[in-house]
Amino acid sequence: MTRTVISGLTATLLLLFSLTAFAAEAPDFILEDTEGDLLTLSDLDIDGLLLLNFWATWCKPCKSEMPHLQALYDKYSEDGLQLIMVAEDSPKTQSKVRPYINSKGFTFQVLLDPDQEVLSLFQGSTLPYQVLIDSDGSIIETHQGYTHGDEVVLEAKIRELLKLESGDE
Amino acid sequence: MNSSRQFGVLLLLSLLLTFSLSITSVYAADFQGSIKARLDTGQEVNTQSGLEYPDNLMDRTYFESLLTAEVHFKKIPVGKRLRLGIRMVDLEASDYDLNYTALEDQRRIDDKIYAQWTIAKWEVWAGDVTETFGKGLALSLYENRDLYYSTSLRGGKVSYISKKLRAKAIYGHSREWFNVQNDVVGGISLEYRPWRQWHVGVNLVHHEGVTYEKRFTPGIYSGGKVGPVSLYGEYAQRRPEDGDILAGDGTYLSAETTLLGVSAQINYKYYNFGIENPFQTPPIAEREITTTLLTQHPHVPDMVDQVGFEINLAATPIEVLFVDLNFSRSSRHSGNNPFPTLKQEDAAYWNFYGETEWYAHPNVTSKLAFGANEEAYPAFWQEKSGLREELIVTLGNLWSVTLDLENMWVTDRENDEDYTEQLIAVALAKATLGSIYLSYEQTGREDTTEGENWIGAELLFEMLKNHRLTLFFGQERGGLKCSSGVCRTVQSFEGLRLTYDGRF
Repeated sequence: MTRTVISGLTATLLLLFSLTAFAAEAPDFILEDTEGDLLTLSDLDIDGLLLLNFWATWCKPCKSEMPHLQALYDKYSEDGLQLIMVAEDSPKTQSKVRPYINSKGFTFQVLLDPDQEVLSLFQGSTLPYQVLIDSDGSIIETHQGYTHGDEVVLEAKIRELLKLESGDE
Repeated sequence: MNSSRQFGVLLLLSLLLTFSLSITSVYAADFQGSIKARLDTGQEVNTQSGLEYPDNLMDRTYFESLLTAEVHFKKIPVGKRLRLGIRMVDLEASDYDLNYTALEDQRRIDDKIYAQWTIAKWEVWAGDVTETFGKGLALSLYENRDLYYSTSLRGGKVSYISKKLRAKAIYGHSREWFNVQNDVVGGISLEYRPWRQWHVGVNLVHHEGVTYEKRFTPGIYSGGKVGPVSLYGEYAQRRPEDGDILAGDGTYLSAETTLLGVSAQINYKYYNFGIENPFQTPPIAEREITTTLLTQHPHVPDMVDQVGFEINLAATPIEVLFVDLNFSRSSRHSGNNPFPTLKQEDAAYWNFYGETEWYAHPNVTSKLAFGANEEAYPAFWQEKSGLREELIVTLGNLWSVTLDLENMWVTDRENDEDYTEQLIAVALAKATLGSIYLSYEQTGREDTTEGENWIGAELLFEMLKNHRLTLFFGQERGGLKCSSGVCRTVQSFEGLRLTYDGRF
């Protein structure tokens, strides 16, 4: 009986998701950054595109991806790209976040999500996890995992969403 | 199931669908969901059988499906958002799981249910909740599904957050599960920030358990910046209601700074909690993940009785080179000595790990790592060292090849045995499409019940951006898998594994 109900609910929810789940509004959240300041998503003035990237100090692919994200941030921040990295380290490994960022010379803002509540709010489970949010606050795209070359695809998407022509290097 | 019950279920589902679609337009609701499914079919090693490999292989059939569904209401009469969620689980454990571990078949519609109501600076949760006070010395509730570990509570919590004040209160009961009993836990945490970069907080937790006695766990913590140095300290004390038996305490201190481009960090632990408690998992203050082979043989921190420290240095001396060095030492307490000893009877452990990342060329990255450690118990003494070289070459824009070579040397002083282990792995990947990963691992250890060679292949397909299908075929080495000091033994597996991970 339970299995039948689970199977039925699964089918129903899949149908429901397929009808309604896209172009969702980014859920609001409050998180603390590595300096102890609070950031509320709805207080951000997204003048272009916001890239939220969830990562952790113990996540190897996340660390492989980060230099590419820094490079994209350096390249497109003046065109309206905002990058916020959300560290999913638990309180037990959280103290390693700031030293890692500083030692790498990264300049993007880093928020702390020690109980992984914001990650689950955005339906993420595997790290790294990316969420692209437009100036209306709508989720344009999500992506989980990192494979070398993903940054090329991401850059093309950023250029498309920021409406940059091929000559706008 | 008879036809009237089937009709009832279908009617219920139809009503749910109709109701959901109608409230979507009225309350500006967003629906989100995810599915994780896994199927193992093949054989696994039975290390409990007393037989040698391969006579100890037994059939393994395992299935797990997790469906999470959420609805977010944005236009509600009071507050900013109401979030409702449910997770359903369908788990068919393997015969080994059923006979030798705490895993069992599970079919639950309400494996996890939760409601989150956000009102200005307040958040109210009902259902299954997790929380951590400070760094987890007094209370640390979380779920790690890979380890089948969950200390989440079914109950509720309230939190308030502002620039000056943070407050949390939680109450509920845990579910009997792997390493966790059905206990009742409640606590409050208050944190005050007199200045921007300084905070001080107090915690109080009450715990009434089946295995553990009734007790209070008060704690205090503080952190902030002095010039370029960030400091943090936390202390928690275990106070049983019935007296001083099994009373204990724990202290964690941390300092970090970045000077001249070098990040330096020192973590210190002094844990003497007297009895293991899954609801308290403080920082382990040691490097848990090093090379693949060294991580196969993890050190299990003992929160009941451990003192130790960790030093980490990291820097980017030139643009194309990153260096990370880590050293830690720990042991049981030796009298009132605040530092770890190197005596075997004190379960001494030290670990060194260093890695470099060299971006030799825009298309070539080389990562070289070296690790060494020594661990002793009254009837155990091993020295291990390992070398790892990872080479990543990008081919064109989207293609890449990764080569991973590892060697580990082990000296088992207790059994007077030396052996080596090797790992060779190669991966070919194309961004947005997927990857092929081939690995070969071997051990020279004699008297093994898990075999000596493991050959595996894994194909990963990325489908439609939010859907990933993974097919593993071959042999996968088992062992002790740990995360933040929580460990679970996994049996070696041979066969086929199919996993699907999708978000909607």
